[in-house]
Amino acid sequence: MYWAGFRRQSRYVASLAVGVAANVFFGIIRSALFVSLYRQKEHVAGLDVTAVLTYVWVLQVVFGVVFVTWIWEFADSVRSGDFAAELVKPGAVLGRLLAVDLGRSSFALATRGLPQLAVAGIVLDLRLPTTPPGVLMFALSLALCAVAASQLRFLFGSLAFWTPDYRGWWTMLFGFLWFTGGFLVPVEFFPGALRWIGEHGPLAGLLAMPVRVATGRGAASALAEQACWVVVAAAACHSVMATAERRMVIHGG
Amino acid sequence: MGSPYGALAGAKVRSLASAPGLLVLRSAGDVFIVTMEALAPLLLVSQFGSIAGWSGPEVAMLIGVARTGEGLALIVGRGIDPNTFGDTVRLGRFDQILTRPVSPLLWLLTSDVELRFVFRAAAGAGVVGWSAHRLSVLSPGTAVVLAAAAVASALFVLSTLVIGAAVTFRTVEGSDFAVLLSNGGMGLAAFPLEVYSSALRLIFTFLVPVGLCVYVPVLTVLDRDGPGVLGPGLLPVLPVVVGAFAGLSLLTWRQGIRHYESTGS
Amino acid sequence: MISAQGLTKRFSTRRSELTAVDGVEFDIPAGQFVGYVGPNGAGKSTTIKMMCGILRPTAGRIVVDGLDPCDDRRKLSRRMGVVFGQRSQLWWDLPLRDSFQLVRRLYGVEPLDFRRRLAHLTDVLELGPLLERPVRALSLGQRMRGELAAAVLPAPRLLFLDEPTIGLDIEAKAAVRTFLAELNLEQGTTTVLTTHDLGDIVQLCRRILIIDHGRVIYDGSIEGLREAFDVGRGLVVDLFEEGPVEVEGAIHLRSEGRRHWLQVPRSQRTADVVGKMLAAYEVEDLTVEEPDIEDVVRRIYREGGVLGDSSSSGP
Repeated sequence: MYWAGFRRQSRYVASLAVGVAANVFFGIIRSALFVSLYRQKEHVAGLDVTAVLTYVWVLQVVFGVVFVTWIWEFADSVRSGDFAAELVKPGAVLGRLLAVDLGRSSFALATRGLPQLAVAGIVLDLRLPTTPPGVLMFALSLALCAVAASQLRFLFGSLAFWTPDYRGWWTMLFGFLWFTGGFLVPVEFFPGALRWIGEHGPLAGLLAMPVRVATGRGAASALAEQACWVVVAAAACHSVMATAERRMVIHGG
Repeated sequence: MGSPYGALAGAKVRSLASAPGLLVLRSAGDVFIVTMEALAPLLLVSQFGSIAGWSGPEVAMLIGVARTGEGLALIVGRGIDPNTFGDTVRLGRFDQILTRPVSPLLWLLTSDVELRFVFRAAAGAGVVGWSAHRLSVLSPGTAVVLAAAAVASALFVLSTLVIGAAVTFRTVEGSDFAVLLSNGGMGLAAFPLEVYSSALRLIFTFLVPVGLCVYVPVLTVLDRDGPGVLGPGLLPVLPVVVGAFAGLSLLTWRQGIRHYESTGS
Repeated sequence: MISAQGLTKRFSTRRSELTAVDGVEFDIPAGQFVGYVGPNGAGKSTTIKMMCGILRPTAGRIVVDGLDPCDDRRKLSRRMGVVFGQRSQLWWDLPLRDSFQLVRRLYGVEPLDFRRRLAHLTDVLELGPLLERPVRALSLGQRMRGELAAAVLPAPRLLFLDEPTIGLDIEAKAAVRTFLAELNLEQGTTTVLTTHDLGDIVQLCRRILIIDHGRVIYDGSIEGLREAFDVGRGLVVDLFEEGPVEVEGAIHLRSEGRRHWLQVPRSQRTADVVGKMLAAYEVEDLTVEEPDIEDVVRRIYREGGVLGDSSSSGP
């Protein structure tokens, strides 16, 4: 039995290794791109090469927290009707759902994301917090990011309550989220008003803010803004859930 | 006897037509994503002046070629998608395919045609066309080169999918590696290879030939030279290397089937 | 038509080795209707897979219609029809007629032959109203008729059936059985039937091969099987009061409280035994059970393999 368990874990490790390899690979090629760019100009949009490299590697961490492998589970369970069973159980459905989701993404963060970032920080010259308060603030920022990601996944997934084409809408929204959240290009590079929206809007808490906290550019205010958006999103989730529950009760799920 | 493969693909297309809403949404989503990706280099250039000496539209052309090829490949590649192929084998559906008088690979490629990737390919081609126009390099000759590049890229992606499927016969996890090859390769090829180290450049030009498929043809069209040995002169090597890569993938597929024959599902 | 000599298949994992099929030998002449049965895990599907060319034998030989199934898989598949009871070979979202057209294209059936055969099959299997409906909208029985038609459209010389009547109601089962029997008789299609339904076997197969733990433990006719093992019916009786039960002609197997299990050998008329039971006791409930192939096999296995009689030649 021991060997069966051992072997099963080794297969898990194998797929984990490939996942990590993928993350590292993309981190490397994006780093190469920005290093090359910053050879042409030392300071751009208030960032230097170290800040941008930090952004690249924090992005790799955050990617695993936002675009998780189980991203369709909730929506699919709503569609298939399995989710109706959840409504019957006692307690707050939304709270349970988000707690479980958060637990899983925290695990991914702790076992994949953070070790990756640590290694990158050792090998490359990144601007990561080194003082205890700095590290604490960064940890808090990542935690808020994980919460925001769970909320985002819930809101997107809740489309399943209203339309069977939720996967289609998600593909459309994905492109938008990916770009405006700064996953393709740092939001600091956006022109004019778009930059302000990217830095302070609802999606900023996913990537832009954690990077700011990591590189120490107004960490405290970034954390405050993140927290605000999490509260706003919580209210949105709550009202969506309430509407969905009413709908399911009336229509029978 | 006419070829049955056309009939198989036609059947899948007709069955897809029964759910148009989803198709439209996903296609629109793909077009949107490709457009966003093409905007990225423009944004970067507006901040940095250039990307390793390349202008925005020039880099966009690279992205366009890569996405066109990827889109073309995925139209037929759904059947061997590493995420779903494992299930196909496990659930015994592959056995059923083996009892048919067709090549199992061709069956897989033609019976799971995904129309939405036509739009990804079209979006990619649109980006290529736009950038070629912006750079005033549009001509019959360059069009041929770019089309060949797209086809070669498609062949590259398809070959990685075949390798992934073949590896799935042995271990389910192995196919993740093939996905890494194609996604990683395409991600790398979206920017001019000057940006990367020479080691990375060489690996991804000659070993995993994505550089040959995307970068070299675009160099030819733009009439510029790349670093080291990379330049338009390398273009004739493209069919040979990509052909060899495709041949390798078919070999691994054959091996995969032989492995399946001896161990079952 | 099908010839197996010392056919063996071993699966080896890192820790252990499993011999699924162990030195199986048989010879199935063209045109025979053979039942190939055994409990789950006995090696049935493994043997069938080797016959279809899906699995390669570890040792021994299998020759199907003069071909090596693995090496000449595509060639053989043209002459072969397969029907899986639980998995569909048809195109789910398209009308049944389209599936037939696709089969025609796949197997290269001449248009004239195709029209003629389709007309005949539509008639015999009553597919008329079903042709324009998508396969997903058909009931299990209707779909099974469609599957059979699709499998025999290319006029295969060989037909493999895996649980074709599973989940069907009496009427549908009867239709399927009649069709298969006629096909075998008229076209001389060599048919290998795998099933858990003893009724299928009894009605269709002249010859039955029983496999257990990878070995053939019986190869002969149904009659021979019955005679050799006195396969009778089971009787489960619930009485109003507790107490022993004894009925002439029935063998008492066991009792639990008010429930008794009896066996009625073939030599007896079940109706007579039931009558005597009802006359002698206050019966609350009574069930007659047909023996499962599993019971037969377990019995055979327990008593050591009997290789059957020689009345297994010819269709």
